[in-house]
Amino acid sequence: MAEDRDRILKTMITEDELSAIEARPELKKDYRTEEFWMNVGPQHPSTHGVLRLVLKMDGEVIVDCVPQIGYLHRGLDKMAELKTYNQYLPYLDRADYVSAMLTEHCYVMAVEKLAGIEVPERAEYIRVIVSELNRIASHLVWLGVLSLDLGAITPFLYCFREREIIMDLFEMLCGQRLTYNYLRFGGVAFDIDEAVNPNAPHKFLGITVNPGGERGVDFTTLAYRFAEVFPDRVDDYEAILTHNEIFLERMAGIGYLPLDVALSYGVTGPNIRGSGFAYDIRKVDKYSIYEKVYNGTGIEPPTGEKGDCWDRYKVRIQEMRDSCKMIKWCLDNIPDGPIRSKVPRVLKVAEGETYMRIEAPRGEFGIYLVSDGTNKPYRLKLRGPSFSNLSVLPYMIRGYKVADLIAIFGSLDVILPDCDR
Amino acid sequence: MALKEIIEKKEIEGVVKIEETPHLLILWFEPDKIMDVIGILRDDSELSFDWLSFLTAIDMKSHLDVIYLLYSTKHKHRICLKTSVKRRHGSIKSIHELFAGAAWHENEVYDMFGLRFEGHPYPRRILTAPGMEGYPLLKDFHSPDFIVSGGVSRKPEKFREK
Repeated sequence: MAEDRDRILKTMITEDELSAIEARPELKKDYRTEEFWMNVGPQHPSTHGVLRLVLKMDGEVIVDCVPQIGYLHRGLDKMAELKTYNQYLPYLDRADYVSAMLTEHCYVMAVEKLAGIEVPERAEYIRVIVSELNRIASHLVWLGVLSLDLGAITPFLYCFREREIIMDLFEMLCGQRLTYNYLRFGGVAFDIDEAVNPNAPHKFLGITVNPGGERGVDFTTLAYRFAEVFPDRVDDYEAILTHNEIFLERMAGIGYLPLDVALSYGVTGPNIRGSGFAYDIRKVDKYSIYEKVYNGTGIEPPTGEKGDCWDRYKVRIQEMRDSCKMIKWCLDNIPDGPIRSKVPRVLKVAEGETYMRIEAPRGEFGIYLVSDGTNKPYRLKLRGPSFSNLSVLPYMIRGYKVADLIAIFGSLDVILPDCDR
Repeated sequence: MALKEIIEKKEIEGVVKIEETPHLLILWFEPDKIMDVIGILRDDSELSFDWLSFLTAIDMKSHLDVIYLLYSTKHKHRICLKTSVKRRHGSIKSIHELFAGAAWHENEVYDMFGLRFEGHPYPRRILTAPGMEGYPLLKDFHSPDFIVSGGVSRKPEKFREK
């Protein structure tokens, strides 16, 4: 039986791969048990999508790991070549469906850059507001699922309770809760002033606006109230988790990611900031209106010290607080004006190529776009942050136990649709 | 000094030309000299391109263009490296020794374009299903209507052309 199992697992990876693994230096130990192969996924609850990890084990210690990806590969690069620029926009929501607003933002900016489309300032503010709201929602999914994986159920319920408010906000804005299709070339689809929810279901936020009013709650009021209240809720999560002894045992001192390794593997986002490098594309590239936002709020990108799981956790927690400040600042300073500039219905993009990148919740989400002057992209390459972030996993988990794998993988915040594209 | 002039002054062997397009600085190089060119770009203190955003390819119908997008986190500048290789059975050297993260991207390019990378530690098709035939991102690849388990692509019986 055991031999059969080994053989079946081994057929899933190539001979070359196997020999490359065999050649690697292994752990130094006085005693040694027979090594065996173990399978995690693809339907494992803590693999955040459909990921299969083939682990080479020595007792309970992981000797090596081969991530098998591609279960969610839909060929988004190829689809782009078959669709017009406008038709392709909704597909971007499916690239990273936990933060769909940000992937859309990257794509519309890439096309606008190549086609030379101006964006009204009000639209830029709205884009930043929805991006930051979506970033909070994405981090909430990460935090809830991570704590659930580590055995704490309460934070999961708290996180999804707060995420529900953001989903409701987006539902008011564009009618969708997950795949929004809200951004347009040259602006956004709807103004935030038009977004009204007549039912005002958010009593637990302590909202008493328009008591008995006919209009219900509008987007601006609810979003502002959310940004005010949410940091207190983050305090609640931290009270449960941050200095909890069980949580510390599972997270602190586990899964070190040295900075030079992170740079070499192309790891981005909170993961590299956890390793102590303040590399935030919002701050570095200053795209959209982020320069004004950073100057107005005085936020500095948070960084960790050692680069272990706990540092990455702290960075994301701080990012949620920072996003609240940004939302408040944008809602305070948003100018009046049009929300969309005039763009021809059949968009033809001038010949050329460009690379546009944004700071997605998981890191550098980039689009490399080559246009040949027709109404379809000649080549569109999505650079998903999870792809590079996952490629460093075999390096990180070598020598740890299986239980640590769950914590390390969870702290990397990989999402598979973004990885497989 | 502009980035273009700095690179021109270095006189790196293997560089064919440097183009300045509106959005990207493009450096064309000879595929045989890839390790030298990228090695110098990475290690030179004035350039220090220490970050590989991604690498990919474009099917130009007569040949493949391989693209490396490098960025310097120190100087905050970006360059797009390009080289041309054969479209069928082409190969180029793997740069996983310079950037460890390149290995997966190279696997993806192999999967999508059929371009082989010499010296790659574990060449494999990383994204597509086992048994997949053809290379999807080549322009003459016809997307099958259905892919069933095992990688055999076919249309349902009644729609099939007779």
